[in-house]
Amino acid sequence: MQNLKIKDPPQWALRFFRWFCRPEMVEDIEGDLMERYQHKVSLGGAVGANRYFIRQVVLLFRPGIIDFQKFSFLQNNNGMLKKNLQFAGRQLFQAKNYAVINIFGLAVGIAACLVILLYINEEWSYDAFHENPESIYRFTTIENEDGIVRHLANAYPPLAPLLGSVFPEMEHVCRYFPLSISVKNPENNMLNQEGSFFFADSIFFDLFSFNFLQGIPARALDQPNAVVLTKATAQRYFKNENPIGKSLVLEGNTSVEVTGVIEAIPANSSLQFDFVAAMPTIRQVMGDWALHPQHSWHYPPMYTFAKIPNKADAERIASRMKDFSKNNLSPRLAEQKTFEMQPLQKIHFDTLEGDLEPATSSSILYILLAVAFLILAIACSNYINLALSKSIQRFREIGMRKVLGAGKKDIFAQLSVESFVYLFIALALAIIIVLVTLPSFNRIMGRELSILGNGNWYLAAGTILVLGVMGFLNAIFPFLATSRFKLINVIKGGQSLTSSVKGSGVIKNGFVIFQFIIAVVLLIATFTIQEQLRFIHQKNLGLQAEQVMIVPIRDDSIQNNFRTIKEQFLTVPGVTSVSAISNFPWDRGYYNFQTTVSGQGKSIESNLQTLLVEEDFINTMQMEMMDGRSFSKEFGSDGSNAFILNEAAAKKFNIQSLEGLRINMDGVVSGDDKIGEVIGIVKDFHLRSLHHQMEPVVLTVAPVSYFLDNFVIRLQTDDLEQYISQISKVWQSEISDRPFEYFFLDEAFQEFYLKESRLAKIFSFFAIVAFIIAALGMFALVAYLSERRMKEMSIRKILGATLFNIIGLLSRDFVRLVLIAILIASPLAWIGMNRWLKDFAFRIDLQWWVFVGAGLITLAIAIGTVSIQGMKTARVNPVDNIKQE
Amino acid sequence: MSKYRLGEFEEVVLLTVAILYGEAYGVAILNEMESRLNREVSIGSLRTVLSRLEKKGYLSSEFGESTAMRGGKRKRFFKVTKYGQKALHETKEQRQQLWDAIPKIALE
Repeated sequence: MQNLKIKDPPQWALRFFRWFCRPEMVEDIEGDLMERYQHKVSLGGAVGANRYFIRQVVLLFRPGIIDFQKFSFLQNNNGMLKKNLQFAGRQLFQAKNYAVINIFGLAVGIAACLVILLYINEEWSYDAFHENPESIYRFTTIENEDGIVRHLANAYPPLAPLLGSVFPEMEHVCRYFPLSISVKNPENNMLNQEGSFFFADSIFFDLFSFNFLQGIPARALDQPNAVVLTKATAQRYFKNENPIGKSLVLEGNTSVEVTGVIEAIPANSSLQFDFVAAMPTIRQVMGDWALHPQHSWHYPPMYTFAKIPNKADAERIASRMKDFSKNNLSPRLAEQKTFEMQPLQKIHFDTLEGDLEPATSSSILYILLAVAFLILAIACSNYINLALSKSIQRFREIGMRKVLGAGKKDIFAQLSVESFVYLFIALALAIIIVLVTLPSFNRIMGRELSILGNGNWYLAAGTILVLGVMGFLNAIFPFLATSRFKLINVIKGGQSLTSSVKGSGVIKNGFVIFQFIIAVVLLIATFTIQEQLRFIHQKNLGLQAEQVMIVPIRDDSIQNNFRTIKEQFLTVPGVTSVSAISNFPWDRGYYNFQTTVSGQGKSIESNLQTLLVEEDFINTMQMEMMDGRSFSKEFGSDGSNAFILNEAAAKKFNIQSLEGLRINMDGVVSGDDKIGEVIGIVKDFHLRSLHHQMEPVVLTVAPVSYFLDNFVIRLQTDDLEQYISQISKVWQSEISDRPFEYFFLDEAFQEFYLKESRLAKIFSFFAIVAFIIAALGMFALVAYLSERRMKEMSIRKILGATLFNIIGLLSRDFVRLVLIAILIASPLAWIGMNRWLKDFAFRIDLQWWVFVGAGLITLAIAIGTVSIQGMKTARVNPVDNIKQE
Repeated sequence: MSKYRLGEFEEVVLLTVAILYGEAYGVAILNEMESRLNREVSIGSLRTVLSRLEKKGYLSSEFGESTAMRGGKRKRFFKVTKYGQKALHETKEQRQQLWDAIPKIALE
């Protein structure tokens, strides 16, 4: 037996035994186990011995052998955690007001920050879903016409092939052209005017990554008359039928076949469309001239994109774009048009003329980001401030716990649990606030943000990290504060204790000033933006836009029947006047004709924006003539040879009187010039938004009705719906396969200021948040200070101080802080708002009362906040405060 | 009532330790009990009782030599203390008194 080879028992069992066994027993029991094991091995082999060994170890796992200290982590901490949660709950209910304010303030801060981050996240993700978005560029046009420089988002049809041949490094040079056309499903006669219809080159889907549900991306637009629909559009026209191979009729004359269906276009895409048809189809819809190489350097405007895979190539091409026009276009064209490269992902942040989707200014995003983080920082510091001032009241409790044997670890654990309970509630509340406010935020901003959106995981991670750090800080401050004092002082409490926790006074005052600066700046900004919007609203545009209905014509047959239809419209009761015009401000561009003004011994040539109108236009719009007369049918010649200039044009040509002034306009009607005299000067009127200066404009009667693209109908105010339905009936009786569309001119004007009105709303939202948080911060500080001065105030009261004296004493310091904040905020806001107003050619001057008003509101809120706490202090029975020591 | 109270298993273990005078360590006690009483005892239950008896003062223990068989671990030898001896005697006497008190007719 003694000679037997030593075998090893199952190591895991042995290790387990060694771990749980009491240290004083390990050695001899293990010896016994081994001896028995070896004995069993010698008797019956390893298998039985192992089984025996394991069974013995299991039987050893019993009270008396187990070292229970090894398991203390399970028992004790569970118990303590439960206790701590209970303490936290008691604390919360004991100081309900404090808890509500503190949690609410933090939740508002977190929620505001989250909403803004969601928004910014969405904005920054624009167009990122395409494959290699950083290598896609758009080619934009800088158009210089007679010194008026405009940066256009689009280029012209011949640019794309030219780029492709000059720069072979480019891949997928692609154009698209958006058009509003009528679309009909011949099977069920469903007819709509479609505003988001693209005509695109066949490589459109090679360049842009839209997900195909049906069809093959690379081949979808290969054939002329092929069309690709979004899923929603396909369902609109074909219900649940398979749309592939079905046909649609465009403009009543062009049949196209569905070759593909794509998923809904992501909300964060600069390209938004319902249909894409193959480019050659445009010839049938608009006529052969649309892609004619000679004419097409002016029209139609086409968005031009290319992929340049190599970054170095892209930089080189960008630097050569300046000379591109000079080297490749005729000298006259090169003088007018130069081209620039714009990265795809910048489209959403640059405001160019002719962009289909409104841009977001990236400086606004950075301002919002800064505001969001400042609000979060303030909310967090407030929270900690409040917790700190609260913790002073709890020194005695903590001291007592220490006396009763709580270690540092226990105190810290208790404070941590409490702090995290608060934070957890605040987070839950913040999420509820976000869920509740997000729909209205989406409505204001025109977005579809969701808290569960893509790529929001790092927002969640960030939130948890911030809360984690806060929870820790929030526990460590009171913890350190209490451990700085001798236990005996802590329990005795009293003045010496509270007065020694100042230190951070400067920081706290700084916080208050800082918070109110932000609040005041936001308030002034809100007021100023709203003032400017009101100014815009009330501005005399030089024409009466209210009650004017615009009906886009889009059809030759109506244009040909123009007179008849106009007469019929006039028979509708409520219609006071009907006219027509070529373009309106929301159209992408105006007619421009080379115009020579001559007479009075001079002759000036210039490229002028031209409005082609019907005779009654000036009367219908109720525009004011400054000199001469307006167009009139009584002068039979007005239709062919009369011109009216606006004041800006009169100034440009330095016109003092109309005597003998003649105008020669190049190539208006199929290459022929239109020649005539200036019959009047019309008061300046706004064709574009108030961001733009007044531009020189010439009006003339359209020589052919082909130019008249919009009816202008002035209505009476009383029964709009009735009038509209009657006008629509007239329309439908004239033309059956063109849907009736209309909009109101004043509403169209308001849309120019969408960005500004959004800004006003979001700033007022932030101003409210900033005030809530600043007021809470101040409330905390007052609570803290009045706690410190409780005895002083009580003695004052005994000596005869009134309620107002005491409130005055308490608020004096804060009023000073708020005044400092207002003094700092005012110049900041002044600079910022002046810069913002510079965007407008027509703008208000900053009003002094805005600053005074913002200051007064701020002061009122501050004093109100202080008074609430001051009242509490002042109304306490002084005896209660003085007797205890 | 006596101040010594031994459970049945405690008594058996105590007696076995006494039998193995000077040689009473874990495995030896187990072997002795198995052979004499034909009773399967686990190391765990034995060791628990030994500790309990030691704590009560009936046993004392000290480390002895180690062997290769034991993986180099020393044996713990147990010895019955004076107090333990008294307890054993007392228990035996109590039993004897009980035996003596039984009427002859009862166990026939």
